Amino acid sequence: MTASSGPAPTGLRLPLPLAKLLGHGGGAFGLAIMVFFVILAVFGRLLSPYDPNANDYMSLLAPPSATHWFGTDELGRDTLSRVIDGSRIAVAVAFLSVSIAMAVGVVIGVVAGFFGGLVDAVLNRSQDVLFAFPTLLLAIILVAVLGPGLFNASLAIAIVYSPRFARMARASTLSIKTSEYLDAARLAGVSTPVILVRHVLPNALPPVIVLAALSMSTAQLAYASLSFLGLGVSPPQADWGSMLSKGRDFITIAPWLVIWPTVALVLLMLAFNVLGDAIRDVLDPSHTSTGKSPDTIR
Amino acid sequence: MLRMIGMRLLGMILVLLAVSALVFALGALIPGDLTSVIVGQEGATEEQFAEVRRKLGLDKPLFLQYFYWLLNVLQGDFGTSPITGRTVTADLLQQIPVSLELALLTLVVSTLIGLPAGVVAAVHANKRLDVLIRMSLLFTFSVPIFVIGILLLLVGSRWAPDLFRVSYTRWVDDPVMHIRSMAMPLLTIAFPITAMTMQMTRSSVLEVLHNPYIVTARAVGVREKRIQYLHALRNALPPIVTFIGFQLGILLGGLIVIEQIFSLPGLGRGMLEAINTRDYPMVTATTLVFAAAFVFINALVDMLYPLLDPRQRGR
Repeated sequence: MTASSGPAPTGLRLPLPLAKLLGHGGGAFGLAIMVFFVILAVFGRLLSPYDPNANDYMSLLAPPSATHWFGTDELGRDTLSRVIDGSRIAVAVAFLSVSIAMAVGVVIGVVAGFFGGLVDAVLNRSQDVLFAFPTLLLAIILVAVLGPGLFNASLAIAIVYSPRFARMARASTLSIKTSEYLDAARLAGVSTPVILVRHVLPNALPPVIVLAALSMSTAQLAYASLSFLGLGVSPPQADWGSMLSKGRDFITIAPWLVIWPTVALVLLMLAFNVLGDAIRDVLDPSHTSTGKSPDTIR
Repeated sequence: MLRMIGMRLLGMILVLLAVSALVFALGALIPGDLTSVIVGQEGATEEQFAEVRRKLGLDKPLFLQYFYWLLNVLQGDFGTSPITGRTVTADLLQQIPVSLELALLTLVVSTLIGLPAGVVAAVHANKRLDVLIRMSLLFTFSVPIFVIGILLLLVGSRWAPDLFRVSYTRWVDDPVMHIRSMAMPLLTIAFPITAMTMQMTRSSVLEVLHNPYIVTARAVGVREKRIQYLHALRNALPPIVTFIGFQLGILLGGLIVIEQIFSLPGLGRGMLEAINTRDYPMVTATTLVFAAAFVFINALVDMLYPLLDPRQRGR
């Protein structure tokens, strides 16, 4: 990740050029899968054949069949319904955590970059401390403090990722600060808050949005890891990570319990990854501002 | 050179101090409180609570508590676990070697495989071999470590059911069983880490290969293999080494997950267990060890840089 050298703002206007994204092969593919999972997440309860938490004691650990397409688990719960129900959590966490991280990071980054001096130094140093932790470790300890659950896990992931957004926003703000249109605004007597909101913020956003798109997959992955370690939503709520962790005990006799959550998880991650790359290609053709940070939570 | 190392060391110590403060603060913020764990929930009088609190120093302001805690930690005393009754240091000394062994083996394996594979990929850039290597990379990047672990378990339990299903055995007890118990965890975590080393080596070597000195070496008739591994790799090393810092973050996080999957009694498992049992001294201790290792090795890599790249010396 290049922190210090932000690009000149591209001046692209929001909303996103959706047409361009659809014209991009990977973008269309990623978007299609993501929309598929969002539909599953929203309408899952209507689409799934069974109640995800209903027990069918007549068929415990039943292999895939016409009645249970993906088989059942040790409590006779339908795996297909649980995979569908789990998409709710996966999609929600990805969007929630990245939105919070982006909101917090952008405010901190823009303020630090714009005002500089002591504010900048303090904000920078405090982020350095967060960077001094391995990401998953920090997420785990934050969940331990905040308590388990969907929102708290998202918040923990957001706190872990916010410094990246702050760095990105700070770098763009620094380059915007010296631009001529900002001088012009100042000379015209525009007040500082208005300058920040009307001029700095919109121009600092494009690279941040690219980072957000690229962070979706890592955020989802982070949550899956937390959930796998027992720090996600509480049972019996179906959740891919905890399904995998539980299914591990039955891996020799009921491999479908780990196969289907894995397929769903990897598919959604792949979609986020491909979509993120596509959004980067569309918004930031030079590829200079956002390299995908290799330090992802796994 | 010495001055620079001194500055880096000072910076590292400052970061470590800040990290320790944050770890302590987070430990203090974890809901629940140590006294109720020790006294027990029922039938305890206010006086008993106050007594325990005084003994533990919890009646003092948080800042002082941190100061005393830090003093003890610097002397290797992390306190006593209210859950197990053992000193935290004793548990740490059991756990650290397990995690350390896995981490070091992973680095050795990933370097031994990742470096040459990366050079091969760079030399054959965009040919079939390179595309194959990069496809496998894309796969490992799209898959969480625990999924790799589970897939390996799945395959292993099908085709070699008894070979790897071994609970953790110490080397001193039975070397063969020890190797068998470490094989699957090592394979799992080495996968993504090797992929990263390979990726980094490929792009780094690729950049170097177009330099004039490579062309010169070729022109004067240096053997191609010698060019690839001596001239190109040597000059491509600095960014690869720097990258180890990033890898380490993933490696340490991966250890927590791997130890959980394969029931290895290492630091990560100790930490999760401590979180579940609300064993505060243990939580702060394991977190601090992980974070300190991360900070320390990153600082070490920083200091190593000038040794690998003479141009950085004397700055």
